[in-house]
Formats: sequence, C-alpha cells, structure tokens
Amino acid sequence: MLPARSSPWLLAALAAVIWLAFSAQLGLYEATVRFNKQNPDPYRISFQEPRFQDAAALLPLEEPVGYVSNLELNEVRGVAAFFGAQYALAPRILIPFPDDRAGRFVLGNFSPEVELADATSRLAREHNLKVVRAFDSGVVVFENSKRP
Amino acid sequence: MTALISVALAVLLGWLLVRLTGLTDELRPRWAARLCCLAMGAGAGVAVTSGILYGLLRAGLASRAGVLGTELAILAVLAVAQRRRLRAAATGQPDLARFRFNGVLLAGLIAALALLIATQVSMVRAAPHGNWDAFAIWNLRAKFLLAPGELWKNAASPLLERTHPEYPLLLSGFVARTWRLAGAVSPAAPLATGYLFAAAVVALLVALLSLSRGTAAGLLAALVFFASTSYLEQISWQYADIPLSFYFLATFGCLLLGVFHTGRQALVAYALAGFFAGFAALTKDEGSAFLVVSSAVLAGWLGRRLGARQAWSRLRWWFAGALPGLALLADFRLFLAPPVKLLGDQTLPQILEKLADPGRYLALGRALLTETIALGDGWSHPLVLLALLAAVLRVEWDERLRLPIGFAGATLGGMALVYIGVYLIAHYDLDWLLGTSLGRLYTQVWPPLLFAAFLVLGRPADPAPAERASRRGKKAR
Repeated sequence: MLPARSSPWLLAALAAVIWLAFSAQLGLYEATVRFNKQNPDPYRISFQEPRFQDAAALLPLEEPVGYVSNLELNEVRGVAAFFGAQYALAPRILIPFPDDRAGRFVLGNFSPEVELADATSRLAREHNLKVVRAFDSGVVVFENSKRP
Repeated sequence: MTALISVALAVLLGWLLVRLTGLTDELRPRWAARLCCLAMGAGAGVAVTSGILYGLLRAGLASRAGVLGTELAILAVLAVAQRRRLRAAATGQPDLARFRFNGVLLAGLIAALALLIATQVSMVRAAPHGNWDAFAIWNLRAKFLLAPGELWKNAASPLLERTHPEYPLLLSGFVARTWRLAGAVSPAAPLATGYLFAAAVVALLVALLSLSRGTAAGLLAALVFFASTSYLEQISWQYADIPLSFYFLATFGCLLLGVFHTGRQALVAYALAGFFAGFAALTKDEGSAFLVVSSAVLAGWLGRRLGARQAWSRLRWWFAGALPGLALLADFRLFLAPPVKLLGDQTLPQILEKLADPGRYLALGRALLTETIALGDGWSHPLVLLALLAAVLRVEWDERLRLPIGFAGATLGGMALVYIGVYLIAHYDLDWLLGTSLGRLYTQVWPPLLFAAFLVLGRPADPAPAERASRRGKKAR
C-alpha cells in the first residue's frame, strides 16, 4: 500500500479542502452582502461627523462637554448615539450630563422622532441651561449658566 | 492615497529592520523567505512607527514634519546599515519534499482570496468606520492623539471611562501617526492598518510553513485559514485582536527561523521574537499576559534543556528585544494611563466564591463550545478541514522543530489558562463578558494555533522514485 502522504486519498482530501475553503468564502460573501443590504452602517457613524461639524466649531477642546439626549445610555441605541457623537467631536471629551466635571458647554443629541423645540426648552428649564444654537440635524449646543 | 503611502513607509522601515537580522537569508524557497521578511517587516514597521509617534508626543515634537523627519532619518540609518547586515553562511534547513499539486492548491487559494476580497469590499462600503470598538475605543483614541499641545494626553483621560483609557496605544498610535502624515482624518488609515495586519498574518503563515514544512503545507494552512470565517469577518472591524494575532504568530515564527541558523543569527532570532512579544504587550492587555507567559515558558524550556547559564545567554537576547515595547508600555502605564482594575473592587472571599461556583465553569464551557462552532460554518468549518487533513497526513514529528512547537504549544496552553482564570474571577457579568469577548480571544490565538498544528501534521509529498517504480510495477501487473 502507498503511504497516505501521496495516495489518492490524500488527493481527494486536498480537493475537498479546496472546495470547502472556497464554499466557506462563498457562504461568507453571500451572508455579508445580504446583511449589508439590510443594515448598512448599523451604528450610522458615517453620518455623525458631518452632523456635528457645525457644533464642533462652538465647543472648546480644553474642557469636557456635557452630553444630553432623549436616548437612554443604558440602551444600545443610546450608547451608539453617544459614541457616534464622541467619535465625531473627539478630541473633545463628552460626559453624560448632569455631571460636575462637565465644563461650560453641554451638547444635545436628539433623534428625529423628538420634537426638537420642546425637548430643548424642557432641558434648558430643567438644568438651567441657555441654548447657544440649535441645528436642524437634532444637535443643540447649550451653555451651562452655573459654570463660569 | 497619502494614507497608503504613509503605511507603505512604515512597512519599508520595518522590512529594512527585519532584513538587518538576516534571518530569512539563504532559506528556501526564496519567495517564501522574501514573503516572510516582508510580512514580519510590516508588523515591525507598525510597531516602530507607532512607538516613534508616542516618543515624539512625549517630547512635544509630534508635528507632521517632526514625525516624517524622524521616520526618514531612521529609514536612512537602516538603509545604510544594510551593508553591515548579518548574513547567514549556511542554514540547517531540511530538504523539503516536492509536491506536484501545489499549483492546484495555489489556484484554489487564489479563488478563495478573490471571494474574500469581494466580501471585504462589501463590508468596507457598508461600514467604513469599522465596528463598535473601532469608533468607541481604538480610532477614537487615535483622534485624541492628534489633539494640539498637551491635549493628546486626554487619550488616557479617566473621564473617558467608557472608552478604556487604560488600553495600550500601539494600534491607536499607528492610526494617529498615519493620519498626521496624511494630513487628514479619514477611514483609509485604520482600514489600511487592519488589512495590512490581516495580509501579514496570511503571508506569515504561508511563508513560515513553506520554509519549515514545504510549500504544500503553507498553502494548505492558508486554505484552512480561509475557512475560518469568524476571523475573516473581523478584518474590517478595525479592532486590535488581528494585530495581536500577528504579533503572537511573529513571535513563534522568529523562534522557528532561529532553528535554521547557528551562532549570532540564532541569538538574533530570540531578540526579534522578544521584540514582537514586547509589542504584543503594547497592543492589548492580553499581549502583556502573552509576554509574561511566553517569557516564563521560554525560560523554563531553555533552563531545563540547556542549564541556567546557557539558557540565560539566549534569554537575555529575548529580553533585550522585548525592551522597546516594554519601555513604552511602562511609560504609558506609570505616567499616563489610569490604573487598571482587573478585579474591580472584589474582595478575596468574593473571588474564591466565584472560583468555587460550578455555574461559572458551566457557562464558560458552553461559551467555549459555542465560539468553537462559530469559528466556521458547517462542513467547511476549519476544524473539519484540519481533521480531514490529519486523517490523511497524520503526524510527522520533526525533532529540529521541537523548540518552536513546544514553545508555541505551551505558551498557547498557558494563555488559555490565563483567559479561563480571568473569566472565572472577572467582576463583570460573565455572560455579557463571554458574549462580547470570547470570539475575539479566538481571533488572537487562531493563526498561531494553525501554525502549530501544521508544524506537526504530515506533509503532502510526491512519492519517492522507488515508490513510483513500485506503483508502476503494480499497475503493469
């Protein structure tokens, strides 16, 4: 009997390995294309930098910026929105507000289902904030009047 | 485009550095030796240039001109030093058996690679900023490193408590360095970094195994690797686990190359292995565990086989190589990063209670099984492919490879124990921790595991002339 290392069994096994490796790739390709059609940019990070661009010009680099949102930070959507804003605004540090460590400015990040004017005025009232500027994209910059 | 040129500059620098060692000189096949040097150079280049950026940031000199000038100066020194690079007089590389179907294996590999590229294009188009940890940790901290003046230190600010400011900075540093040289913050730099490491892992796997076990073994390892879909999915995520898997593999690879050399080059192999292990520690916390475990394994192995004196003569090269990565890590940990709270605020009785809880072992066992199954898909699962190959190729022990096989096996075993221990006593919710991290731990160790498996598997080979004659005789009868 021929050694296994050069036998027809080996050639059959190698053919199977080639085919199975290729079919693994094919499966991955099909699954990826299907998933990406249904969930392009699932955390919508690509949209965040242009969305926060104008607000960034108003926010200082030197001090932490407070962060408020209608989306809760204990839910995936809320955390994704927070990190989307943090990534877009880095190297500014965002801190969930209220927090004494936050500086003079507070960033509002609101999802489209929120009535922006209502949410903005309610937050301003609750936390004694002054609206510096509200942008169409659901982004609001507040000033914390308790801070010098 | 500028980002890609900046990445290429790092690769060139690393390639020149690895070439200085002469470790791949005189090895056959030549294409594999060159590929090995290039792949190791890619990882070395990322490590060195990331370290340069960190040093320049500390010195307040990390302007674009400062970074470019320093890198070009080092590049020039390395280029001039090539005249005096170590050259191997002869190698102890074994004769590698020929296999006439290598072309078929290569064709299969190219077909799988073409599909993989199409998959990756789709992934990048859909999510150019990568997955969660990319924008929440690694690339976010790269943006902080670009801040003006001393504000770059905010990358390790305790205020970034949701972003793991204590994580080491190799990956973020390289992305920041590439953005700085490119003059723009774009997804191109982290994407190029992720694909550079993934390509270097495949290239290193193929090259190392081709040099030690023949081209067929290298190509087969790559095919099995291409069936490891959970690893491949993570390339576009831009996480640090794939770079870490590269540094693990490169550490083992250097010791493999050292086996083929004698004298100074055999010692340089320990230094380069230590260099990669040191920079693994600068990549992720698991890399620090790797440095400790691999150092202990190497010390134990060499001490037992050679005696303390001979062992130290090799180990000191290993530690000298690890020094740059360790020094950068020590500086970061001591002077910048917030303290690491591995155990949280747990007391000793709480930890002991966790260790005695059978439910935690059960949860861990279930998660291990789930993640092992998730490595691939159905019949094309990489473990099915490995089992198929093991059935026909069986085991072929090469005594010359005892050190790299034993070192890799014992280190990976030690790492498994470390991972298990951390899971058992972690202060986070265990199910959440397993669900969010175990798959990535597999990613870190999978290429070195494949490497070790193919070092002991038999090699496909053409029949020897006498065997062929016997076969012809049987046919004639």
